[in-house]
Amino acid sequence: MTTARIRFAPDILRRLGEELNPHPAVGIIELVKNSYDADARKCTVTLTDVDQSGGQVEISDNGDGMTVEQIEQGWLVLGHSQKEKSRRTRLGRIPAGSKGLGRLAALRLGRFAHLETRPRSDRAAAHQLLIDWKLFDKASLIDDVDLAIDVHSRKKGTSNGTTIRLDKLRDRIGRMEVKRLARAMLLLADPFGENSEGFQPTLIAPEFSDLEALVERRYFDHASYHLVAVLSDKGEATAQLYDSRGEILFSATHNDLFPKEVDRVVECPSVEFEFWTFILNGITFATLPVTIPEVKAWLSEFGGVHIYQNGLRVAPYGDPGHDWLSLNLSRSRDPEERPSTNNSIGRVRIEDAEELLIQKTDRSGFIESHAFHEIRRFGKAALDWMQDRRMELAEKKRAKARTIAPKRTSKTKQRLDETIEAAPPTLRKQLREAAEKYDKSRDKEVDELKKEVQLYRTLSTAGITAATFAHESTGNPLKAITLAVSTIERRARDRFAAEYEKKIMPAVDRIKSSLESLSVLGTVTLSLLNHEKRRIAKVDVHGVVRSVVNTFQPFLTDRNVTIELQLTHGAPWIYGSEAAVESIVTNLVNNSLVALEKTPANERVIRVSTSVMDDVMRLSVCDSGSGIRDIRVADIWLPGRTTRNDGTGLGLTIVKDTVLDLGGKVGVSESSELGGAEVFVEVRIMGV
Amino acid sequence: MPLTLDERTLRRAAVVDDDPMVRAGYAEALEDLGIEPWDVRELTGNLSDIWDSKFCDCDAVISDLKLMAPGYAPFNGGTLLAECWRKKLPAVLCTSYSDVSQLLPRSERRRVAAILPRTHFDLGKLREGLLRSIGELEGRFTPERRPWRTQVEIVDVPNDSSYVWIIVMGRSPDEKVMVYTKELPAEVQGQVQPGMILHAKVNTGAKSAQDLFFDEWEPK
Repeated sequence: MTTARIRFAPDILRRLGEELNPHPAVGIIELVKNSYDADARKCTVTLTDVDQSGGQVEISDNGDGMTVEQIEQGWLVLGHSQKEKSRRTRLGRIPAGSKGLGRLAALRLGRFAHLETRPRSDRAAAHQLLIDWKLFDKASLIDDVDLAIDVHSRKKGTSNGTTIRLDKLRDRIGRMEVKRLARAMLLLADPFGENSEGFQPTLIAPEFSDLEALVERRYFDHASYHLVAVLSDKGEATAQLYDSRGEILFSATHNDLFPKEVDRVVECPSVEFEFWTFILNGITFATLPVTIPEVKAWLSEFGGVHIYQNGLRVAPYGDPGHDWLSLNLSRSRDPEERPSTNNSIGRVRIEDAEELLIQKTDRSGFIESHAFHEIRRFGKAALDWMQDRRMELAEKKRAKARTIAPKRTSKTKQRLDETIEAAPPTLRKQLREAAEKYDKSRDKEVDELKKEVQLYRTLSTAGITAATFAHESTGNPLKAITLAVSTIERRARDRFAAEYEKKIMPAVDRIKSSLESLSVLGTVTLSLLNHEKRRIAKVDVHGVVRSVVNTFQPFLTDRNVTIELQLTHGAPWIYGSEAAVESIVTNLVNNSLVALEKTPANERVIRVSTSVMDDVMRLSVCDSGSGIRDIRVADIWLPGRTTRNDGTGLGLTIVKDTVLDLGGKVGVSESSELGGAEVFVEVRIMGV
Repeated sequence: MPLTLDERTLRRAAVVDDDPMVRAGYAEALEDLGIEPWDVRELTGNLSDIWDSKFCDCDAVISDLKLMAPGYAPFNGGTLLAECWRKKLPAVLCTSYSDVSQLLPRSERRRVAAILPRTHFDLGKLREGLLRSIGELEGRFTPERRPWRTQVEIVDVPNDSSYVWIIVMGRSPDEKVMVYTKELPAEVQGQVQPGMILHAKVNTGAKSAQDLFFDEWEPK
């Protein structure tokens, strides 16, 4: 029998080491983690001349160092984790452990890797090892290269620890990469916490000093909300929400956090989740000793939710683009009182001595196991709960503001009266008259606003009710009628043959035509209420015009109205909401439809046209109706003014308000080419 | 006499809708096609648990998309049709909604061979829908429905929105297709940005963007 072994060509070192590590920083961080496992308190990374190839990187720590055996059986063995489950280091740390692949990548950054280590267990000894990677490149097999561990006496006064020097770097390490390394080192040992492990990695580079200064600013105390959620080792969660002064606003039990899954525990190691949210506006920051740009800069570097497993950070969670709790997605779906990665920072600390969470070999996070999904479920539940509580607070504030405002006005009025009474008698009368006049005009304005608010509320209620009915009618009743008519048509045609067309078909056709009109009512209502349309974004005005006309088309056909589109060349767009533009076009078309009610059926025409002059777009809607009658032209924009008994008088008011919000203006011509009135709006566009 | 389509005999079809009057309408249409209607009065419970008791004697299914009446079913018609697809049962989805994108994820749309809008309902369309469903179950696709492994590019990520705009290689570069972010692979949902390239199975021959399905997304 012949025995044989699987052997490895040196090329495997390159594949395993470099190809599994996307950036030099990933490998260097693995060496820093080795220092943590060796109970170092300090670890310094020095970069020398790295902005070009041939430079040097040195990683030096004051840990326990290694014996010859540890070098041979641990440091030089690849693919085998030195970590024993549940083992703790001399300082009580849970080793970060690694399979050595990141270390391999780092060691191969240069042509030479030089190790010097001074073991704590032998205070007189120092060991040195030099790896010349060129020897591996020349060898056929990895095992063919012998490495010499030089054992010699330690210089007197030299402390324990390990120094690794990587010489003659193959590639330059650019500024971006240095910054990435600086950020990774700063975040590695939870700079935001108490740093109970006492581990301080330092990078000797200007980028590090800048970031270090930034990280030390610690703006946590200026957060508007601070969430602390804890998951016990039994999988039971609790949470507290604090205000900016550290007072508890709300507390939650497990069932409060998981109202839809009560009594279902979270199956993962124990977790502590802290999350700080900043309200970045002038009112909040007016009394704070920091500025919004400062906090923004800090959040821009360190924002996001970072994960710390057994004291060390696990990348890439919390890095730009790694929004693992979907903060931004949740905010986009439901923006009110939701944080985003731009205005919040968080930390998830996981105590995982059992290693239930396993990091991927390429260090791109945890393997997405059940335990990891459970942590994510816990984090999202805590954030959802926080949003609900913030909404509760916001609603209370709104209610309070409504009660306080009249009281405040009354106090101010009293103070004004007192001031007038204290004025010299000659002035008093004039002041009193002026104040009374002001009161009257203000009261009038308030009355108008109240009426307007009430009108909008009434219209909102009508809208909500219409939407409810639209949902219902678009669904089953219309469907039931359509199917029933279809059966009648089919079976009657079969039963009565030629008689069907004469006696039954006209009635069936009328029902079908009416059904189509009814369907439009539902579709239009639901289309207007689509919440996506209220987002602020680029709005293609012509697209909205076509969409509105398309939606109205069956209704227009039913009323014998011809609609003409005379849209200018190109696609003018504004920055606003689709709902705003839609509201303008819909109300103008509606307005024309009303104006055409008394026009003979074959003469009903509406024309929607656009033109662009410089950066202003004019959108006009005219019709062949009878023009503006029974109302002053200037009054058509006033709320509640209508010439119809059943009209709301709000359509053109909404158009005017919306256009003003867009920074534009409105206008009207009593006559147009089509004979009826022409209403136009002018808004500034961003492009064509 | 039972209806035979593409060598498959359809004797009985389940009628699923949360409104009994609508079910009655579909039942009449099926009767006129020569198929015995099977009135499904409720679908409470887990779909896989109730499958045998509700559908095992059926040769086809007609279902509404929204099954929202209290106590009728804990899932919608898209989910039901996806299960029919897995069980190799021909099925047609009938709906009143002209835009089904919010209720029917684009991945599920691959398993829904035929969507019949209420406004176009007649025996011919129903028969055509059943025929198309049978064809797809046997691997025959119309050009509009055939899935191809395709490259798609995210071209626009509107601020504060739950969707992205993408363009599909092989279709017009001017056609931007809205896809909800939650329908993208989980690992990219938090990092979508313009220029991101992904691969999925897409029916690139679809007539309109609304009919496109995206399925079997590949890890980035």
